[in-house]
Amino acid sequence: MTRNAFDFSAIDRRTVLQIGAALAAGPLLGLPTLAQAASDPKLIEAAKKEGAVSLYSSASTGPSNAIAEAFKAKYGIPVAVYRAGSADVATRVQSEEAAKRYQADALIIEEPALSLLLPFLATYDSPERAAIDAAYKAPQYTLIRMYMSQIGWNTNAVKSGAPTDWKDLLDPKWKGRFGSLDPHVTATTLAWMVLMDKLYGPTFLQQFGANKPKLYASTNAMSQAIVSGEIDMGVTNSFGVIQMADTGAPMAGVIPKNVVLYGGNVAVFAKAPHPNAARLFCDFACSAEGQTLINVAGATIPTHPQASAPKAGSLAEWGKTRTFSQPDYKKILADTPALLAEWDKHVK
Amino acid sequence: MRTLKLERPGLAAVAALAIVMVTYPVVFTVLRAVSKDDIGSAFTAEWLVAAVTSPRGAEALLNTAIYTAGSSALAMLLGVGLAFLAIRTDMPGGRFVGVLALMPMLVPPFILVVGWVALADPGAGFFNIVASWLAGSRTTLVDVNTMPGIVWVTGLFLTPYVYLLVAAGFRNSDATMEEAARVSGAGPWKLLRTIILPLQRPALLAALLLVVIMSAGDFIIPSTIGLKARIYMMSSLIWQNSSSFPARPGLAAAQALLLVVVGLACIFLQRRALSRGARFTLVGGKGSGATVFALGRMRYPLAALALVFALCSSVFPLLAVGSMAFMKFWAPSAFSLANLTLKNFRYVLFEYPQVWPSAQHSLLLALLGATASVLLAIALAWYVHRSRGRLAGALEYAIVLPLGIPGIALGIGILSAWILVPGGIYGTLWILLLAYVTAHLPVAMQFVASALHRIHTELEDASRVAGRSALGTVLRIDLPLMRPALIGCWLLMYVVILREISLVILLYNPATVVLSVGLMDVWSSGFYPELAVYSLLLMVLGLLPVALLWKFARFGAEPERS
Amino acid sequence: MGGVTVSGLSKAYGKDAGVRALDDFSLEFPEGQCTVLLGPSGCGKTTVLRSIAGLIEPDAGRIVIGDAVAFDAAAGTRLPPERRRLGMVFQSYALWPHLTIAGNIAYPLAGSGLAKAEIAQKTEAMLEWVGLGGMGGRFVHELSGGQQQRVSLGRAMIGKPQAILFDEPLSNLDARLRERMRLELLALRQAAPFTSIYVTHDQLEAMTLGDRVVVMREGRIEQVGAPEDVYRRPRTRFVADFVGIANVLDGTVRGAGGSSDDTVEVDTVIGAVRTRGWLGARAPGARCTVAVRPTLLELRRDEQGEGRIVRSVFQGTSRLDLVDIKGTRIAVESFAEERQAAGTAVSVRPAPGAVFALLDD
Repeated sequence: MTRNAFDFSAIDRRTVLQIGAALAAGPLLGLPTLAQAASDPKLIEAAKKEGAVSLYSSASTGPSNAIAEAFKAKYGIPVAVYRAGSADVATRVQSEEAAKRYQADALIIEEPALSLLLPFLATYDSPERAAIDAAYKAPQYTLIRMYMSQIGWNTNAVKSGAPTDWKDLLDPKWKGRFGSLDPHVTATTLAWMVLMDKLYGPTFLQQFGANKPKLYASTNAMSQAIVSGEIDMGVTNSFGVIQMADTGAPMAGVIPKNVVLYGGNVAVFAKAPHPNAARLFCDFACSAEGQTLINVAGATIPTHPQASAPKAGSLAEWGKTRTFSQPDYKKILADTPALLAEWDKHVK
Repeated sequence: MRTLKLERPGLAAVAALAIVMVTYPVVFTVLRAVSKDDIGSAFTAEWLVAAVTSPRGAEALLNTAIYTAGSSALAMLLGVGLAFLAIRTDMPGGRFVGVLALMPMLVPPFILVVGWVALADPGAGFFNIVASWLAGSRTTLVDVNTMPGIVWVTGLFLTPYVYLLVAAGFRNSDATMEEAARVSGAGPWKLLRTIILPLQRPALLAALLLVVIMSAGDFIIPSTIGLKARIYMMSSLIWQNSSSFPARPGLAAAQALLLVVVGLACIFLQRRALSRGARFTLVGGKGSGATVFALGRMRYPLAALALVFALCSSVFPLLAVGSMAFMKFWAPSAFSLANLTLKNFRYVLFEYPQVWPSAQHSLLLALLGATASVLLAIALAWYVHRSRGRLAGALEYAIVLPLGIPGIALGIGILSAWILVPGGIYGTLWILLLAYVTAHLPVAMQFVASALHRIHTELEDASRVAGRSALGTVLRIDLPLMRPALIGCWLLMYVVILREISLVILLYNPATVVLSVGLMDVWSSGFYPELAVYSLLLMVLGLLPVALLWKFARFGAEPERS
Repeated sequence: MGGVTVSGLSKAYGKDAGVRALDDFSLEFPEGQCTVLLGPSGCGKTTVLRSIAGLIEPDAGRIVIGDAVAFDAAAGTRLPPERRRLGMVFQSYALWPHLTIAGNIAYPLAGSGLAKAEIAQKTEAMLEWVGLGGMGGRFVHELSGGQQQRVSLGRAMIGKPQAILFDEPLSNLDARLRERMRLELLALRQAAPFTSIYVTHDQLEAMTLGDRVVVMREGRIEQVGAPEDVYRRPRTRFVADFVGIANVLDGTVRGAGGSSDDTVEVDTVIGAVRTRGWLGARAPGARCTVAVRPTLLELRRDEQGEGRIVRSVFQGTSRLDLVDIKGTRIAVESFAEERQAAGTAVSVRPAPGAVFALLDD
């Protein structure tokens, strides 16, 4: 579970309803009408009959619960959320499928775990994703929340000479005092590794390892470590920096020019026990309303052009000044053992 | 002991089921460790080989060995030392020290973990902040993220168990043994060395073996601070191999098997030592009159040390956790009034949706589990005590098994068995209940058996002659007489089940999350203030029944008061 | 080995020193002799013994063992037990189960600086002496009660102690074994006379083993003397009772005996008797108490006798008759085999010199 920013202390019910009401009242206020009627009413009815949705999510607790609560508020269908790291979610689904105990309805997950679960996902083209750019859609899943790799640091410890680019991580002045995610735990680090290799060649990893980074199992764990002073700076994600800074913690960050773009996807399980409710949920998650909720709660970037998450910005804006690298997860998955071996060779 | 005239078939069936219940996990762990894929597929030795030879595996083995040796040694030193000081010296506040030594048992291990992180984290740990302030520049006085750090925390955690076992021995020692030695020329040191400590060997050995098993199989500290410090150990590797990507359940089973072997070896050694030590049984030991050692000038320094231990093992961590719970974020600069907030409490208690379902599950399972364990223990203990059949003998031997099997290994065994049963209890609350009862039944049985033992057979005979049936006798004579011990046993079961994590970490699923699992989740988020509140919640829920029922319970170490 | 001298020992327990275990106890324990402290539980005999051993600290007094002051309350001298060079045989033997028999016996020699070979030699010699030669490698639980007691004695003796303390050592044995051990202890003592202080509540042990018997009561000495003295001339009713003299009678002094010995004539329910004992300067007409053993009374059927048989009991080797004379019950023990019928008229006469006077009134 990741705790999101404190001073809005988790989107509470009231706020959720308020946002929902504002969006619903859109047309009255002259705002462009959202495709509210995009969900087939027959689907809504069938979903309500099923009466429950089981969501497996690797997003932090804040966004996962936000969207679950909002869905329940809107349709009166309760959502049971199982939240864990993407590797754990993937393993859980795999064991359940193997044991033929189908318990999951909907899925929110990142790559590369998503690729592992493709065989279990249903093909569903939600009407709500019509407005989303094709680059962020696939037959079985939709990207709904994006974030970038970022360098964050403790503003009390780093008063000047803060890093500006990935190369600065190799500066010996940071030796032993910076952090990185552990690719054995979070595979997204492998994608970052691949980008570094592409930008700077194999010597990068060697020097990176020689600079003795401390490894952490999750973005939040590392953010906490930066804030607590255990390390001075680290390779983290954009949402981590935003959320910490929001609480008033001494954290700041920079997004280098070349970044990896990560994303969280929503999908529906083929053998879901509540298929209609699952699809309805997927609709909601893809919609501008849903995306606004989940991205505001998680300090991530929405893919729906009408969703708005001001703190994180928009893809269009960022795209103007940064070069995104979208990882080829198929290749990464195939290369995982080799990549991990390479990592282990240099990084202790 | 009387022989049951008629083998009661019902009880015999229960006994047989109990034997099965405690042995199949071991069987299935073995099977899974030698199967290529699921049980039933080809046999292979690759997992066993990998467990020992893979780089992470070998590293984990070495780390586990060092960790076990270190924390056991520390716990024995502190436990025996404190017991000796409290009971056999004229240290001021001796009895008080006894209470302090046992206090950590009330504190869930998670609080110990979070507390010591709050105290000794190299960056934001309280001790280090004070040291930095005194030294003028950033100083790391103590670092909990190291092997010595986790050995320290675990040693503190295990000390009360050593204290309990050894203190009882010191209290019941035979005074004349020591008097004879003193008259024969033994001064205080020689007396301690040649008579007092050797005579305590059964208790010392029992304590040592207990802490070795507990530290080798410990899950919480290795998978929280240990993983954070990247010190890999058997228990955390088993967890990772079982539930993280890529999952390797065969390897996990092989590693679990290694732990099982160590645990069973300890149990076997302990039984042998105790049976040999039967000649050490002291007849009618009257504690009063046993030599009290005068500490002289060392009285106050030693008393201060004892106090420091007690503070370190319960008070400081509690205070640290308590203060963390009120912080907005946790950092050296966080020690300011501006950083205080009640938001963490509001979030955890009222807004985080998983808290109350997990609390409910935990409470339900703890209440049911404690009750089931005690009832089953009564039936089985009575069966063993009053029957001389071979089944009873087998039961007495088998029931000790789970004591030597660390929680995570038992979890692997239960998982490997039940995952094969489609439509079975896997994924439900019942599998958790089964796991709890399997793991803790031995302790419940020891409690109940010793309470039953104290009831003189003649009391039961009188009831039978007066016309009551066997069952009626149990209900009207045995149970009421055992009531304080039963309540004590129930409380112990409740507390232990509530904080159990290693058993359930592999067996739970989204619908059956319990408090301790939720805590692990929060830990991995790295968000400490929230973790602090959550663990305080666990402690409060654990202490409530204890506070209510404490007066009615007896825990067996005190002398009879009949 | 030297003797032990105890002077002015006092010890009190409880709130406001309510229970006086020892009250100004003073006694000399001569060298080479066995002094038996005899009395019921609570009389203080064990307190004296443990004070001498150093296991209890008295409130006041002085203890000298050999020529060293082991304890002096006023001067603040407190020698710990391990430096008093004593041996002690406990009621429960107190043998250490984790050491072999040899290990138990050799224990006192461990700090003496002797070579290991010499210690082993002495240990084996002691084992032989107590009749357990060659059994040094066994453990305590393999031995019988009697054997354990002998090991205990061997351990007490091996260090050539200044005195050996016995704390009711035979109480744990059954009657026949006790009898055998009593005679064995006597034989051992005659072979090697050592200063011993022996605590017991069994008057038979006291009579057999002691060179001197000290009867204690409530922390004080009631009577000291050779066993025969105490047995035949108890000073008080308490002592008489303790050594098993059942008949205690009231009497009135008639007059001095007139002979050179200390006999006095006293009127009792069995007539006028000559009594020995403590009356000395009692004036005629004074009331006193006399005692006589049941075996020294003669019973005769007598129509004019004032006694009536209450009960006649067959005791195997003897017959005990309970006789009622003028309201007082008297026990008469004899070797006659036939029992008397209840109500038979009898007269009772004491043998000469059988009656003695007691100090109590």
